[in-house]
Amino acid sequence: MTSNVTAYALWVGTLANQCGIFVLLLRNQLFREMPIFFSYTVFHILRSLALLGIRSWYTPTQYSYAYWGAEAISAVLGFAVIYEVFSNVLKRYEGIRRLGLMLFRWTFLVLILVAIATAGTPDTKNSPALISSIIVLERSIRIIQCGLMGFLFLFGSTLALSWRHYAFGIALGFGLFASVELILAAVRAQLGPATDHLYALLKPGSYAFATLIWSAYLISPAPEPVVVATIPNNQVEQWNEAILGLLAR
Amino acid sequence: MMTATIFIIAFGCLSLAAIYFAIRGQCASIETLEQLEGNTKPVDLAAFQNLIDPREQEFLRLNLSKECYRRIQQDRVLISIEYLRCAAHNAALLIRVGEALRDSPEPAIRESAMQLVNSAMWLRLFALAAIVKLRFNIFFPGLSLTTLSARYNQVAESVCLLSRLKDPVSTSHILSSL
Repeated sequence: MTSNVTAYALWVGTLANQCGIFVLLLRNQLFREMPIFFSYTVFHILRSLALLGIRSWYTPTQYSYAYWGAEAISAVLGFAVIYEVFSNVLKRYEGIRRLGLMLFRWTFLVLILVAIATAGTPDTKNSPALISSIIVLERSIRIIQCGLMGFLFLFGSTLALSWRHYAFGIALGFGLFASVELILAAVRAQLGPATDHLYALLKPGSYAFATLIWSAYLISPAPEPVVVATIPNNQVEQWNEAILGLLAR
Repeated sequence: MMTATIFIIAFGCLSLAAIYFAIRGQCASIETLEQLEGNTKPVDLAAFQNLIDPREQEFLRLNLSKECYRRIQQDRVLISIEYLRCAAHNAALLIRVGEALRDSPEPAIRESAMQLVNSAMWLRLFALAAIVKLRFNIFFPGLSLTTLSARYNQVAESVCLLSRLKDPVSTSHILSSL
């Protein structure tokens, strides 16, 4: 009973949050800069409403098909959102754009191989074959998403790239949600149906938390940039020459 | 099965750690010009050039005992790494300066700012790559990455020569895979 109420509260809270995100994206004209994230938000609002209808009027099996079908579309859109955030960060750095995108694609390929390798380890507990396959597939998708988010954050901090306020918020929420879901899917695959209760609660919980982060970043104002009048004297070119000489040896 | 689960959970935790460091970096961002000036670490380019000068290294090798040379060279490498760390740190601050000026109404300043961002970014990348190279040299003093790549090319050429002598048809396949 309590878990039903919690699940319902999470569902309503997430839907309300996403409607808020939708309005904020429209009001701040951010749908032009992040069209895929905007589509992702619209899709999730429609998905929640459609699933509510299907749950009320159709059989549990039909609901299950609709739910996992929507999850598949959401996963594809999720990859597109990660790529969009990465392109948005690199857009302002023409000099390293090509290098960044090349590294991103290679990371994606390597992560696909890792996901395929881990998909070979089946669910040992007594879950139905279909559920077991879905959990393994979900785990593989989250491995790729977590890896891409990790790469995005590491690449950004290594090169000291400055993020647009909202892009950082989107990446942050997405990264947290993908990481928690990966850990949950791995625990569920290992321990079997005994953890279903926890999985069913924490999975939407992590997503609700991500939507909270997105709205918080979209509401809060971006920090003021540093005010500088002139370019300070620097020896960047000479340093580059000296270090390149060292690297060539 | 258990090992794979531990690996996946560790992967998820690493991803969370990357997020944590990203948040920390974002919170520590510079907001005023004073903060920017106070944060730079002065580095002497001439001293750094002297530290990495191969002639200087050769001079020390010829005039010092083997043990003494090894110790001094290790110290020089460690100091060079410190210089590179400071240069990478300063490059990050210069990137911020360039970004702040990128939207300047004056086209000349805008152009210079864009160049500064680009050069400072490459400086940061080169400095971090050079730190990796120098660390590698500390652990494997006789080897350098360039020597390794030259040796690899030598081995690849020898393999091709051998295969050409043994089986001329398959040489092109071997060549493309090396």
